[in-house]
Amino acid sequence: MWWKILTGVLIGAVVIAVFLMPPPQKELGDISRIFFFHVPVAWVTVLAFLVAMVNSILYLSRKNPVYDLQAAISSQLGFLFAILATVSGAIFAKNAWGSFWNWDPRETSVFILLLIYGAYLALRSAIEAEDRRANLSAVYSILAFITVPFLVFVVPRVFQSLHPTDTIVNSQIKFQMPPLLLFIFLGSLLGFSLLFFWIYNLEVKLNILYKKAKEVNPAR
Amino acid sequence: MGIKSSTWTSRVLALFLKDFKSELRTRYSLNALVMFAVITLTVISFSIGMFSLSSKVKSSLFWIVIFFSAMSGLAQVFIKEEEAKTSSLLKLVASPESIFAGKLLYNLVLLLFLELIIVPLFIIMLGFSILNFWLFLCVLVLGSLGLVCATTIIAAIVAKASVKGALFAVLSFPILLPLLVTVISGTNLAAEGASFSQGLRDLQILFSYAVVMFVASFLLFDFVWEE
Amino acid sequence: MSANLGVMIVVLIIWLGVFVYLLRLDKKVKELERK
Repeated sequence: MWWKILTGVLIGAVVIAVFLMPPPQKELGDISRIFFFHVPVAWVTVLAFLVAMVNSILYLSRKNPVYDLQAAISSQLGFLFAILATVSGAIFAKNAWGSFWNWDPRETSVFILLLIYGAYLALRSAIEAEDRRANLSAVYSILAFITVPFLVFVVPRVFQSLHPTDTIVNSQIKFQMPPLLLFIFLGSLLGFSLLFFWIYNLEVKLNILYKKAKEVNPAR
Repeated sequence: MGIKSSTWTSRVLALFLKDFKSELRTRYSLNALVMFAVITLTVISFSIGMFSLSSKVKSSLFWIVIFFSAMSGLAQVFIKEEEAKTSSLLKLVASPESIFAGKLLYNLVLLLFLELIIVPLFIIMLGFSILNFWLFLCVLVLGSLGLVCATTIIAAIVAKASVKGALFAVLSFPILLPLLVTVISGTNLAAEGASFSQGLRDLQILFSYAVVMFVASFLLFDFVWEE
Repeated sequence: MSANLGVMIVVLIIWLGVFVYLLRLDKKVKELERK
């Protein structure tokens, strides 16, 4: 319970800090503040993907429908966060580099994750039988995850030849962030991760309750 | 399991031949596949007209044609079993592994045959000059192998869905992305006359992709195929 | 500076709203689980 309060306080504090302190990157100015939200959100997308994949493996090995439910919910949340990450990234890109979309390797990776989530959700909505849906979507989730290492190697190589835009993003992440900024950043990272788990937890419980209610009273 | 590998191979071949022969008789899939590719190619050729394109663009266009042709034709291998209701019979007759291998082989042969037709047409219609042809062939074959390794299991997944539509393309695209990127890069290198050692990196990626996808699909196929 | 302040206040209010909503939902779920 306490960690939920912590989440609230943490994110609130981060919001205050991010907007009241001087802009983290002088050249870009105010827009660089988005960094403290965009990166944690993108991280949560990846986290959600991991959670979904682990649940998929658990489902295939143990056949407990709870795992399938958890995989689905994690993917739904991941999808939402992926949209947020892509949009916030595009806003940043427009302000920093002039255009909304640049096929910069990091942006591309988040977008691909978005496609994977979309495909997964499309698959789930295309199958009605619950067992089959659970099986097939679990398999797809695992397949998608296996592709990711290849993406990590392949994507940066190809788009290197285009813009050197990545240097700005890279330098922001890799430059020695003054301890205060690092602290705020980590706080944001933790806050959003906790937020994800909170919502994930709630949705799983709600779904289970809903199913139980339906069993007791199928008319609803 | 106690099944000798030679028996397993002959079973796979038998399954492959069954699909191959029935396809040879009706040529249903093959016709659709080739027609689709030729039409796409023609549309591209028309719209390009006299305009000259870089080899990078031509490499990309080539694989776009192959990708969409694959999307239109490679799912049939499982869908036809579901539609003809022969899948239950198939389950009784052969193990999931041999079915998967047989279908994969079939898709591979189908795709390679398609490319046999499309490659010359593409070269002629778009004036695509390929300086290092052997490298191109290696990229083509390895890329096709990777493509069928990744998409055969997805075809099986789609066959079991109630609403098929564009599902095959939607599911395949994210999975195929690393392959597409690499294969276009490799084709471009071959077209511009790069040496084998320069193209080696792409070939290695293609090879490892094919291996990884094959192993993963092979292991996961059971879960898709079982009811 | 004031623009930042404005954005911050808006975001805080939104976040507060979300946070309270989540707490309420949490409470409701706990009640339902006890049944």
